[in-house]
Amino acid sequence: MKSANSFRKIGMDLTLAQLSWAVWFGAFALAAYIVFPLIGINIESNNKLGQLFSNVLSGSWDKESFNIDNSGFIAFIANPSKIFMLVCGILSVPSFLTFFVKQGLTRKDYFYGAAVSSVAVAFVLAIVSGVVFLIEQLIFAPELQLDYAWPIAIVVYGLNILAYYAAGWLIGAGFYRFSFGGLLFILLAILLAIAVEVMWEMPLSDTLKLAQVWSGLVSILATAVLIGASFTVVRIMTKRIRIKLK
Amino acid sequence: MSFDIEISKVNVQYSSTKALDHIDLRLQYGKIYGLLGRNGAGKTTLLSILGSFMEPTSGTVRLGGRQIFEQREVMQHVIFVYDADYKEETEKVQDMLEAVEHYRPHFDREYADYLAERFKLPLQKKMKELSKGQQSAVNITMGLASRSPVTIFDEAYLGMDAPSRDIFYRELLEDHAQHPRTIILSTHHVSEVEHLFEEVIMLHEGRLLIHAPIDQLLERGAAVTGAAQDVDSFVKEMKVLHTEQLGGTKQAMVFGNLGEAQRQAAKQAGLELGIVSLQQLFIHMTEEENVNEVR
Repeated sequence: MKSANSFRKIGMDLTLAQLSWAVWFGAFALAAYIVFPLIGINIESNNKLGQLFSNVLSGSWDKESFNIDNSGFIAFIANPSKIFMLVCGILSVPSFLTFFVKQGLTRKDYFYGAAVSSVAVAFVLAIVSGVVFLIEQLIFAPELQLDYAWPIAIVVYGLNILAYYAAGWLIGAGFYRFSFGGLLFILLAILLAIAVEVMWEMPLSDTLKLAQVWSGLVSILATAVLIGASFTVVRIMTKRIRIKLK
Repeated sequence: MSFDIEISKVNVQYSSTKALDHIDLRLQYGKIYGLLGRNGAGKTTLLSILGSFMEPTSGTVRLGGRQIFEQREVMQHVIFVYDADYKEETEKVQDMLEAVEHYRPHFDREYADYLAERFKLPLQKKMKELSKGQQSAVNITMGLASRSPVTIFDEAYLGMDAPSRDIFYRELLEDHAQHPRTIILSTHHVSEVEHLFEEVIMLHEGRLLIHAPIDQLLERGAAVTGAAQDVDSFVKEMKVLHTEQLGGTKQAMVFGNLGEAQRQAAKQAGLELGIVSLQQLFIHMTEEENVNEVR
């Protein structure tokens, strides 16, 4: 007999499954990023998260601008990444929870597996986005120096998109459990998204200046706490949830 | 671990309706059980609980003395196969089988391939492209090849044609002989599958109507045929489930063990005693006017 299944196995499988979706998502995003300007669609983005990322990675957070459209691929893909994570979150309970319980695995193992995989997917996306950005920078602006704060930028980026996964997870679990009562969870998810956006809006241009390092750290911690709280709500909702016979 | 199932004082309340009412059952490991009941009797609810799809409102369900729900070591030994909706399922048949193999500890890949061939399953097709019957055959293949100590089929053959259902019944019997395990079949095609059952469980309106080995249950039913008057006087003191009359000839279906004396009396009265099929017993035992008396 094979060994007992555990959340590690689920975590690994869910990570791979969602990353395989992410490959498609990333490929389309990259294609759009390259093709849109060629056919005259303006992709210049007013994306704060992307700007932050590009500023930090290019070591120019205190400079007015960094010129690959002031943002580059990282800014282009930041918002779509959030939507991608939101969708992954929404789909998780209806598709994966049902599947795992059908295979004789516990809700608990599903929860921990899904949580671990969401963190993994968020940070893989953040790191890959960063790498694409670095390549972009090497090609278009080789004179710029990589700043030491870039790991923090990856963390910030990862946490931001993870928050959207949490929002989607709340919605998906809410609807699965309460049908139309799930509408309330949309409200909760919007509140979560607003909180995170507001938190990263304010100190954005200068979050990681040394003088502001504390406010940046506080935002990181606060975002992590909000994500943790959302995950906890999902766990409470799904702990003894009835699986639909679909 | 042992795989005996113990269901004790199980109640399920859905808002205003009581889906299961005080169910007590012990299912010994290794037998094939038939779960019968009319629509809304609570069959699927009971099976959902065994499959850990839901918890009872109250009461306990144990496998080998251990609670099933949310217990990793226990849950993995139960597979609940039901008429799942694959209209949106874009996975290929092959991938569906591989996914089950990945998670089910006793899964037998060769056996799965063999069954897929028996059912002529198109392994490279997407689930949603399959006919209803083929989808059911995939479900059955997953259920049988998992070789789970507790295997539950809830109306699993929907849409399958008669030859395919026949393959299912044959393979089930054969594999059960080689790999004994508890199999629970919930079905409306009683006449087709009664030869598979070792024990029969009947539910009616959420309550347990009867749980008995099939031979004992069948022995309790008898069809008494003869002249109407003779039949009437013979069955006067018995529980009559059903009567039919054609001209002066009457047939009464009685429930309750007939002793040797009664059999002799029937013979002397010129009455014919016949057997009653499980299907007929089921139909008439679950009729409203009979339910309380057979319980």
